[in-house]
Formats: sequence, C-alpha cells, structure tokens
Amino acid sequence: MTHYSMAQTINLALDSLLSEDQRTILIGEDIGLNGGVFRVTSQLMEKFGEERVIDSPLAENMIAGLSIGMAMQGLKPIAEFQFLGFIYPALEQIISHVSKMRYRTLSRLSCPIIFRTPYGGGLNAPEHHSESTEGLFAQIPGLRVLTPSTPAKAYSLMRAAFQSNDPVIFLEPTKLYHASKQEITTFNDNININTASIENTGQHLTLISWGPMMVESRKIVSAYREHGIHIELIDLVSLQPIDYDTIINSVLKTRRCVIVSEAANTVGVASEIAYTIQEKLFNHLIAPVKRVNADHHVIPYYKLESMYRPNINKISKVINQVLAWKN
Amino acid sequence: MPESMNDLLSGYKWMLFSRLLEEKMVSMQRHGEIGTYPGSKGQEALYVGIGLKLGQKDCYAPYYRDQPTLLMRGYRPLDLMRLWGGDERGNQVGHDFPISIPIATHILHAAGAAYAFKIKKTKEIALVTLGDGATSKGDFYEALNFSGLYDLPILFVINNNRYAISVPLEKQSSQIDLYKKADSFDIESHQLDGLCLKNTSESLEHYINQVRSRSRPILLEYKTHRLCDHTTSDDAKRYKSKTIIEKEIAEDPLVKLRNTLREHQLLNDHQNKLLKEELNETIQADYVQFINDSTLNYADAKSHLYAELPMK
Repeated sequence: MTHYSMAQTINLALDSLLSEDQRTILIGEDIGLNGGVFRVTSQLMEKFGEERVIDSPLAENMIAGLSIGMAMQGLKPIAEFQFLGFIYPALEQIISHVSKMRYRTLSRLSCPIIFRTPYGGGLNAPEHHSESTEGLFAQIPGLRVLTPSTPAKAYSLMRAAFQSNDPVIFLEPTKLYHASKQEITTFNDNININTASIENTGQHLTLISWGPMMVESRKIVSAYREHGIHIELIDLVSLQPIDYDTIINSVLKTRRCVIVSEAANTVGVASEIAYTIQEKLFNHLIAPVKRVNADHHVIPYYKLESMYRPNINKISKVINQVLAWKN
Repeated sequence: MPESMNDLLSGYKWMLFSRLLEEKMVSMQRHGEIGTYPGSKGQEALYVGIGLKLGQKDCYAPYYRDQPTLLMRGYRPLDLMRLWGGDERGNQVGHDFPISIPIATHILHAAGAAYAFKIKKTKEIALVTLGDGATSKGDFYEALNFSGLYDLPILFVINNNRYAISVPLEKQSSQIDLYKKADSFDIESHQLDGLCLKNTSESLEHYINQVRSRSRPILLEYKTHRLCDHTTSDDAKRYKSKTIIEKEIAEDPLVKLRNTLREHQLLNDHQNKLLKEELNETIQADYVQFINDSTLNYADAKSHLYAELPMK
C-alpha cells in the first residue's frame, strides 16, 4: 500500500504521458531542474530531457502562444502557469486563438493543449497566489475546464484530459497538492471528463462542489449523516461543460440544492448551475437553490482570507436554511 | 530565358491576379456582398516573393494583409471571398496557419511551429509575416527571444508600410529601423526593398535557405507602400498627405515590374490584356459560385467547436 499526494499523482500522470507519447511536451517556468514551485514536475526534465521539458523564459503569454504553434504542428503541449493569478497575460492567446482555432478552421487545425495551473486559497500566500477565477474560463466556448479534488482523481483526470483533443484548462487546487495523502493501490483511467461524480448518495439535499471546497463538503456530509440527514454530494469535476444530467437527476430526487465554491459569488459557475436547476426543476424544488461562495470582493491579503472563503460554518448555515424551508 | 526572368513573369501574373481580385473584393464590399476587406495593394512584390520561395511543406503564419501569398499557397478567390464574406469555410485550405487578426499574436505560433520542426528534426521552417505596428507588441519580442534562445528555424518578415492603420512609424516606434530590434536578441536581420519583385524573391530565396541550412532565426524588414486604405472601413486620406500618396503611387511595384517585363520583351500590351481577361474570368467564375452559394449550415459549423461534442 502506498500513499500519494496530489502533486505526486499529477507528476506520475505527466511521467506516464511523456513515456507513452513522444509528442508530449512540457513547458513552463521553473518546471525543469527545480521541478516546478510545487514540485509537480520533479525529475521529469532529468528523465525526458530539456527538449521535451522546457524551462521557459518568464512570459506567460509566450508559453500559451508557443503551445498553440506546437499543437498545430502535431505536438501535445502541457503548459504550466505558476499560479492562476499569473495566467492573465495569456488570456488573449487562450481566448482569441486556443478556444477558436478548431471552429475557425472547421477542424482543419486544433489546439489540443492542457494548461495546468494551481488555484484557490488557504496557503497564506502573497497577493495574486490564491485566486479562484475559474469562471473566466468556464465562460469561454471551445475550452474545457477540469478540476480534480483527490490525488487519485488528479491522476486519472490528467490522463483523460490528454486523450481529449480539446484544449483544457486544468485547475489544480493549491491547498491539496501536499495535503493529506491518499492510499492508492492501482492507478486507472476510469474517469470520464464529461461526467460529474456522485461521491455520496443521499435523499435530503444535493450538495455540489469542486476542487478545493470538496474537502469542506465531505466533512459536512459526514457531520450531517450523524444527525440522520443524508446529503448527496456531487464533485462537479468539469466546470465547462457542466454535467447537467447528473445534477438534474440528483435534484429531482432531493428537491433541495446548495452549491459551494471558492469563487466570488456573482456571474460564476455556481450561478449558472443555480439558474439551470431552477429553469428545469422549478416545480419540483422545495427550497430556492442557494450558493455558498466567497464574497463579491477581491481575495484579501491572507490575514483576512478566512473571513472571505467559505468554511464549514458558513456552508452549514446555508444548508440549514435550505433544509428548514417549507413549501 | 534565365530562371530569374521566368520567376519575374510568373510572379507578375500572381501580382496582377491579386490586384484584380482586390479590385473585385473592394467592389463587392461596396455592394454589401462581403464584409470589411484589408487590401494588399502596393505590397504584392513582397507577398508574391514569399509565395515563390517558401517551400510547400514549410509553415506559413500570415496576418490579414497576406492575400497574394494565400493565393499562391492554395486559396482560390472563392476561399478569400468566403473568408472576408463571413464564412469560415474560407479557412479550410492547405496546411498553413490561418490569417491572424489580433496583432502579433501569431508570431508566437510560428515560433512554436519552428520548435516542433526542430525537435522532430525535419528540414521545414516557419515563416511569419507581420506589420510595422506588430513590432510594438510583447508577442514580437517574446517570439524573438525564444527563437534566438533555441536557434529555431524561423524567418520573421516585417511588411513595413510605415502605417499601423493611421499611426506613422515615427509615432509608433522609438527605433524606426525595425530590423535593428533583432540585435538585442542576437538575431541576424536586414532591411530590404519590398517594392521590387526581383529583390524580394532573390533575398527571400537566400534567407529562407539560410534559415533552413543553419537552423537559426533571421529577421527581414521590407519597406513597402500601402497603396490602399488599411481596410475598406478606413480612409487613408485622413492621415496621409496628397504628396505622400502621389509619391507612393509613382512607385507602384506592379507598374514597375510590368515596365521591366516590357523592356525585356517578355510581356507586350496585348499579352497583358489577354492575361488580365483570363484572370478576371477566373475571379468572376468564383464570384458567381460565392454569390449563389446557399450551402452554409449553422449546425454543421457548430459541430466543429469541440473535437468531442459535450453534452447539452
């Protein structure tokens, strides 16, 4: 039995992809000798060489632009941005070219690139290092946005993202890189990037979350179970596209839903899900669909961060409101 | 006939083809049959030089002013009518990169392609074209830096027509000899005449061979005149004086080449007239097909957004 952190399982997934497919190229800042600032690419340059694991100049827009050219010449780049808060210089390349290239050329060319980046707070990091702006990417047609919530899922999801010929924004929860390790006996590819996963079945309420907030969500599910309240927990996995089949089937059963995320609370993935549930299940709902997000505010410097991010108390309060609602 | 004169006659036909197509496209835009169109008039000697000398397997990363080269790399007039007439099917030609509209962004794509050629150890090169205004953007410097750092087989070709829409080079760049910008990256560069097909084709042949054989980037700045507005939505008379416009027209590369061919008895006026008629017939045939086409389908187009269509 071996236990793995998420940083280790992503490293193993990248290692396997570099081994299995000569077209695989890694590019990013400090990903070579240093193994990345979170050591996710540790030892990969030593193993696969400097041509395939590129310690790139410090220019995020360049990383994205080069990846496009490589992809359109048949390579399979996996690019790392050091933090989500530093991806913004690359937005022009990602929005104006990556997401559009397949459509623009009616499938003559495409950009099967994985853009990896850590996201989310909880690490007491300096400004710009703790952002949850995943909604920016989920808004862009042509992209896929994926986020794992356990070491085992991270391995399978990275490999599944690679098999997809679509561009993927792969969001890795910073807080979970080196958090508790997971016991994994066998690594497998049994994940479908189009499908949300139901982690716990229940009939009283559907709780939807993803990435870093799955940690709090799992704790809440256990706590309520002890009080005889059975929450159905959905790990969204894919923020674009969203697996509405799984969501709608669950809420059809539970008739109550709470969505938890670390992003600011307006015009985001949680809002979109809440809208769709009310549109499709208006007559079935016992209570309004509620979101527990961060405030509509920039993420504060870390001393105030715990005030800003959702936590178990904030989530429980909203769950209790929804459970208490009578129609 | 020497090889170079053959090239010139062949090149002249392409330059004339492009010029006639541009007349048609501008007319179509004025009649509401296509959308905004960016012309190439006055810069055909550069673009046809590229078309003559770039290898078929090489990767060409064009921007939106490159219609003459596109014609030489497989685009039919119909494709360009579609491209500028709001129909993505105009991009379904050959293996080159599609034209890039966001300024300078595609320079990095060309560098990425050159990196792919390098590690695949093939002999292809990437050739990217850009305007003088594109040299103000970070993408340009980032691409030069990476290409110099990794000795990439890439040729940067600046079409310096001295205007980025309305802003003249003196207000655009602290260094108006744009080729010198490559010095900081230890990249070989040259400033060249872009108005004469003999010059452009000979220099492009030489430097393309250099990039291919040495696997090193080179930057070429060609000085040209844009004898048209920036696009059909623009009016160059707002920012170019009458004197400048007249001076530039007097240096029209198409007229200059026609005179050279006439002097060398390679093309008389009658032959020129017949050539024009033949080319216009080709354009007209495609125009008829474009105008009568009703096969564009939204559902088909939408199916291309993702490789695997996500669920509803």
